[in-house]
Amino acid sequence: MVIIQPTKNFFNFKLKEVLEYRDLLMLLVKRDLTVIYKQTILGPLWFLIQPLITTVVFTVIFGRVANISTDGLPHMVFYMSGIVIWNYTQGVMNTAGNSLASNSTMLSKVYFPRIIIPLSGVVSNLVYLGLNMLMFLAFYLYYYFTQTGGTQFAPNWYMLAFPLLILYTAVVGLGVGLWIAAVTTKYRDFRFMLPFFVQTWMYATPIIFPASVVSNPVYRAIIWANPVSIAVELNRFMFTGQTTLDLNAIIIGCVSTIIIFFSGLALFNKVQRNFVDVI
Amino acid sequence: MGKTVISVENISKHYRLGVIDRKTFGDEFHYFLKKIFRRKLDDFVKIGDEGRIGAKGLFKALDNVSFTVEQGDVIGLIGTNGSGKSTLLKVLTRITEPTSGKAMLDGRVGSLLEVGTGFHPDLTGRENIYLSGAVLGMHKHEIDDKFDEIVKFSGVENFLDTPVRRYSSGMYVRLGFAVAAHLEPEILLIDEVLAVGDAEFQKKCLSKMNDIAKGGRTIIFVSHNMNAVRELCNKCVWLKDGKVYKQGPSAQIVDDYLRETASGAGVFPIVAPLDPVQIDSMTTSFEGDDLIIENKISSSALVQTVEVVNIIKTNTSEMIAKANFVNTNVAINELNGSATMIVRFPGLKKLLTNGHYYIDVFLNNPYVRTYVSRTKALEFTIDDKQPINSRENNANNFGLLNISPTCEVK
Repeated sequence: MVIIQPTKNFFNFKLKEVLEYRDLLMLLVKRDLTVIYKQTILGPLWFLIQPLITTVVFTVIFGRVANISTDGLPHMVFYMSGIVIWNYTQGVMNTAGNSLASNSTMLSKVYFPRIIIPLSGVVSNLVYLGLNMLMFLAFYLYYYFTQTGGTQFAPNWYMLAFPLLILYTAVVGLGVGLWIAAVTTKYRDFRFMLPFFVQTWMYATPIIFPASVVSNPVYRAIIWANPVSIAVELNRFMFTGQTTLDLNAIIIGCVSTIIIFFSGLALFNKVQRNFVDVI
Repeated sequence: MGKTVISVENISKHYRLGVIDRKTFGDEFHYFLKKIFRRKLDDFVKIGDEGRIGAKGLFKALDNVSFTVEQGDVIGLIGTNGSGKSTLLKVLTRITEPTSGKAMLDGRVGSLLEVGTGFHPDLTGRENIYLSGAVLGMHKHEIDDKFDEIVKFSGVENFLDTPVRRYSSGMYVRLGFAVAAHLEPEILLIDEVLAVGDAEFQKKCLSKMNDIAKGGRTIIFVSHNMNAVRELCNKCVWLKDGKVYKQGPSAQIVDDYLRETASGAGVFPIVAPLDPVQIDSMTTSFEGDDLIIENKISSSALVQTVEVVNIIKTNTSEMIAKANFVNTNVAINELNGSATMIVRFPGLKKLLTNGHYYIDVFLNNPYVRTYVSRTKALEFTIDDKQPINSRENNANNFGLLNISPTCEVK
């Protein structure tokens, strides 16, 4: 029985219906992964090349030229540990943010729970994350065994919580992405603001600098108020034992993530009902 | 009486127009953006629809629409452009939400608003069958089961592993329809997908839809093709200005619809004063089985050679018979003042089945110029024929001609 009436409660997420469409979710993941390699020579290799180039550029500019501290960690490992997490957050955020606009033709012709598209982004970006992590691990193990490049790594049992860390990152990316999808649908002006927003957000995340070098309390507060900072620092901590993160920051991060996520979800729910009328 | 499977109760859908009233912060911000970017952020009004704009600048695309559908019904949703058909279909398919009201659909709902929904041009035919099937609401195992059937129906066996963007448009459409046709929902909502493809393909689609309908499934079909509606649907809902205007058996509603929307039926608008030749009045009558058309014409100046053309048409504008200078050999050599031209179609009544027919009239100087041209200037009805079959009291199911075929077995 399908009942159609105006939605009153935007916090009704219809999980059962979403489960019904899990096959579609997997097929959309497959679509995204297949389509992206079409007409490329290097194919999936691009997912290794991109972060590698970014890491090399960061190493040269921020490590060598600007000489910004990496808490004594080898540059490659330091930057890459941040980039891997950042790329995943950004990937999930982008697919969720564009989910309505880039699929508008399909969405105006057929119904399925709209949240399926952002969710498929969470899964497909997981594949890229896996590839990035493999590369990170290769560098990590190289420095671990050769013991070159400064401070000795102190890997610890917290590493087992890595899947939880990824879940947390996915929820952050999804939450922000849903917000973006909702606001850009109505006001396309936000699309122009998006690149600046992403850039600013990245600089507010300890990717090119360790959180420990930030001494100004206002800046410190800004950095710890950013949920991705926690993910990046935790990732570094798991593999190297280096961090200035404390439990309070983790709790604040989790709470703000939950707020962003659920408010984003509700807003997305509200917008997707009549989305085809405004595109 | 079957089980009610679709019930639509007071469904309304309003669109806000580009009216600015700044009452909340949101509106203020909205206005601010408008002012800065000089961009119309949400304009939905269609020109000519001003009458449907409500008090608060709301456009009522659907206005308290209610109807019910029983199991196995094939409902034709008809109406002129902008009457709310597509909006209603979008609401029922859950693509967009109604502003108020409620609709209940009992059973698995499938919708078919375009051919090839969800297709990605870079994916192969095989991949797209799965993707499109899932988008339309099928589970993977269902697609697995029907895969061979879909491929066979589409006729693209040899191109299954080719990206669909290299398909010809015909192949693309066939594959898209094949996937949709194998969707097996209890309720199917279809938009005018038949408008695509060649005649052959349209025939295939219609017959497939007929099969689906015969299978006891409930269908709502939106179309401008009155022949298709008449052939497929047993009932019709006619929307006008966002409201249900009429509903009932499709043969009757389609006839009413065609008559009411026919341009200028029975009305004689003033013609351009430049033309001296006018048609003053027309009447039809039957003399036995002969149809007689009296064309009273006049001219305010002396004109040479005037012919009258009378064309008999069905309500779907197919020509049945034509009388003109060529086959009647009659034209007025010199006209100044009035004249009556009586055109006779011998035995016409005997030949036609029940239905509404229209007469077009033209006054010409043959091969030189047309003075008057009026389509559907007059109409007549034939309703005295015995229904050929009590269940199918619908002439068009048996063609235009009232002949009794016979059959023998050898």
